[in-house]
Amino acid sequence: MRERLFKWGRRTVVIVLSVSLISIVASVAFAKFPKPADFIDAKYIKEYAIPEYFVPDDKDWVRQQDWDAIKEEFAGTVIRHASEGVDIAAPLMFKDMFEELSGIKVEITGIPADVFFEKLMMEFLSGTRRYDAVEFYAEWLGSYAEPGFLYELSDFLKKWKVDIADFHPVYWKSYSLWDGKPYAFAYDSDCHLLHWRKTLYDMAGLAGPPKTYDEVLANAKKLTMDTDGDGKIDVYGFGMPAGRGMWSFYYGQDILGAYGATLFTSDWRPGFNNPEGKAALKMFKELTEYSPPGVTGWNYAMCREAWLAGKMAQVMQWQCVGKQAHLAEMSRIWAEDVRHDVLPKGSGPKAKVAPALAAGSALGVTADAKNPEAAFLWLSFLNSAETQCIYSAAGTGVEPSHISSLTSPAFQRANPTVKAWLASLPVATAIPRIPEVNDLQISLGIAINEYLTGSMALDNALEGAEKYWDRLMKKAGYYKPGVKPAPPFVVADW
Amino acid sequence: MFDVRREGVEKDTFSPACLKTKGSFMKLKRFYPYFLLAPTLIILLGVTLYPFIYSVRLSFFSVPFGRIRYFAGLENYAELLHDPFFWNGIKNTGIIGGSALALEFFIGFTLALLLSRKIKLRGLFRAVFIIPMMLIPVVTALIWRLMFFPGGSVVSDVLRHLRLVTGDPNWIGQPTLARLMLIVMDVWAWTPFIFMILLAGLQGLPPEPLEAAEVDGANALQRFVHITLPLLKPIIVIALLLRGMDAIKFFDAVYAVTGGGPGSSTETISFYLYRIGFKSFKMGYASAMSVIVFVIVFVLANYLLRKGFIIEE
Repeated sequence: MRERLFKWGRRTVVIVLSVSLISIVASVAFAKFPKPADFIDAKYIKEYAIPEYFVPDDKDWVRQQDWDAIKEEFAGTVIRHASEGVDIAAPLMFKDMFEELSGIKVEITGIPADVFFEKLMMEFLSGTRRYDAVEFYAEWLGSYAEPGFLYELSDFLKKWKVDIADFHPVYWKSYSLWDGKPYAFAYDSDCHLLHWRKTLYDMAGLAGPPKTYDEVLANAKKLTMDTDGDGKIDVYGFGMPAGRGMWSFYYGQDILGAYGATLFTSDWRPGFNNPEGKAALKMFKELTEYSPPGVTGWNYAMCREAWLAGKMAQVMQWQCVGKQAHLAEMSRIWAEDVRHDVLPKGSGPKAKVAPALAAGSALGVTADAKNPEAAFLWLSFLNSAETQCIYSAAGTGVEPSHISSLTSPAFQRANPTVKAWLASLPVATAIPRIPEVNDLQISLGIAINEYLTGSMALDNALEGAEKYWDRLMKKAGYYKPGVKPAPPFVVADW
Repeated sequence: MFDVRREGVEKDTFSPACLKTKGSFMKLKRFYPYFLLAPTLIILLGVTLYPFIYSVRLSFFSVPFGRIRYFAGLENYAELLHDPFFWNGIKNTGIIGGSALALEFFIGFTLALLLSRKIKLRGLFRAVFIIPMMLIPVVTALIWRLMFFPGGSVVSDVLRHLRLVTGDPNWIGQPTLARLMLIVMDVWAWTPFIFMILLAGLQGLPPEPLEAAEVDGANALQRFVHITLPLLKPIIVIALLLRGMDAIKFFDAVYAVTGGGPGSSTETISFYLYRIGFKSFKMGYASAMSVIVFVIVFVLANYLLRKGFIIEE
């Protein structure tokens, strides 16, 4: 009896082992890597002539890995990922595939944008260890890295042979590095562009693209019109999110830079309360007069919806909003000729092209992550060159940072904003990644919004914001001797 | 001493041993109320007193990003004096909360006076008037937000049809209109509260003084001014106190509808407190501000209570 049982037991073990072996061999043989055709609508694959892959094998980190070995080491590990609510589509797209390849289980939580900063900060401060991987706005890198909330990634990057040189240097410097060390991946790599409807330009007898804000304003006046003859204005000449706080700050930064103002001088003094800053904000206010009602209360989503609904002829927005205008599922203006260009120059002696890198997001591993290496692998997967191309081309609004992605001809066909975007990066500006950034942005954004809404005169608004910044920076110790100078406004010079 | 008779128990049921046991039981009984109160007290101390004391302590420190950096003494309080956002918050709280409270009191009192009389469908009116109060405040705020939404405002449509406005008023983007919108929302939502309290007060008034005054030839206004109002004073104080404290804490509608904008025109003191505490994470500074707000509420409440009760006593 015992012998029979032993025999049966042995047979069972052999069967189980054989089945496992076959499954492993099969899974390796048929391992699925992210491919455009699996995620992007067939009609767009055809329309943009997207090949099997956007980037060559040697540029895609995912296709370079031995997933069998990874699975052996990490199978069964669970990692928890906090994503900003609007960006959650991208990680959700790839979650299953990553779990299948790596054996690592990923739990994704979306956090609404308006409480994103405080939610993450509360988690970090209270030491809940709730998340292993976190998305955060790139400006907050200093707020999270300086107190030690993020895991320094140098060793993992080396161990897993992540090709750092393939990240666009502007994003690498401003999204990943803090105090010279890498703490995050550039995830939603943003840049503001000017999107304009050539169809309406043609209707109004205008030539585009506008090269200066004066031209944008002049065109906006002509493009604010009643297109259906019912006596009501149904298309406004311009639009941008100009709501209180962050929104006014982000777009104020674009125009301040274009007129030659800065956020900081090299000794950390505010650099916006000057003739250039005043000229810039006057232009900002004039532009709101040819924008839809309520624009001074708009956030990103409100502006995006109005643009995709065809309410504006020109819009200053992130590149993803320009791309979405071409998608029939999202846009009412998809059939029109919609163009994308670098933001215009200001006017005056210091005028230049200076688009803002504002509110893009980065992905980091938390310092107290339960499984930092597994979290790193997930983030590397999510930030691989091919993966980035796919979620951007699918219209998630999350944009790539790899040079190989941005220069891929197929990706450039799928995302018509890329050329203007690449042209913007060498002159793009950003606020320094210091812990006080949130307070600085909100206070200047409120001051700008005070002026835009007529609650405050321009001089008072700028003076008030300048004093607030001065007080804040003094208290934080930036005016003490020996402090490193502020980085230049243009990221390429960092 | 244990008094058997006082406790209402029969004498013959108690042996000396039994009495001894009962004696220790009665000693325990003296502490019985404290045992019953203890869980509530512990929770209350834990969730109110401890955070309050901790907050007062934090207000004397510099606490950027939740980490105590140094003892700041009165630095946070001194900084508040020079903080334009703080004074703006106080001003906005006064304008929005004060106007809303005044209107709520006026409308609520008028309605209470009307419905304290025996009129047809009185019960139905009473039920209808308290509906807004039964809605969740944030839901109310979101509904109003949709009603005032720029470019598609139902309120604007109605006002246009009534020929009270032309065009499409920018409710959220224009400072005065944004404040007005918040006042209207608060009045709509909270007038029923004042109405209910005052109605209960009116119905509880003794009829004799009013009848005597009527016999003496006092007209309706005289009866109202010299009898109803003085008798109702404690109730009015309670209503104003409760709503006044809410007005100082005016937050949910600001958060859900205007976000403090346009500019800073609707940033109330409690919204600014939230912004400093949870957007800038300057916990010491936010604590100092919360202490100041507490002092304001405390002084105001004391003043009103003295006016309403102690002088009367």
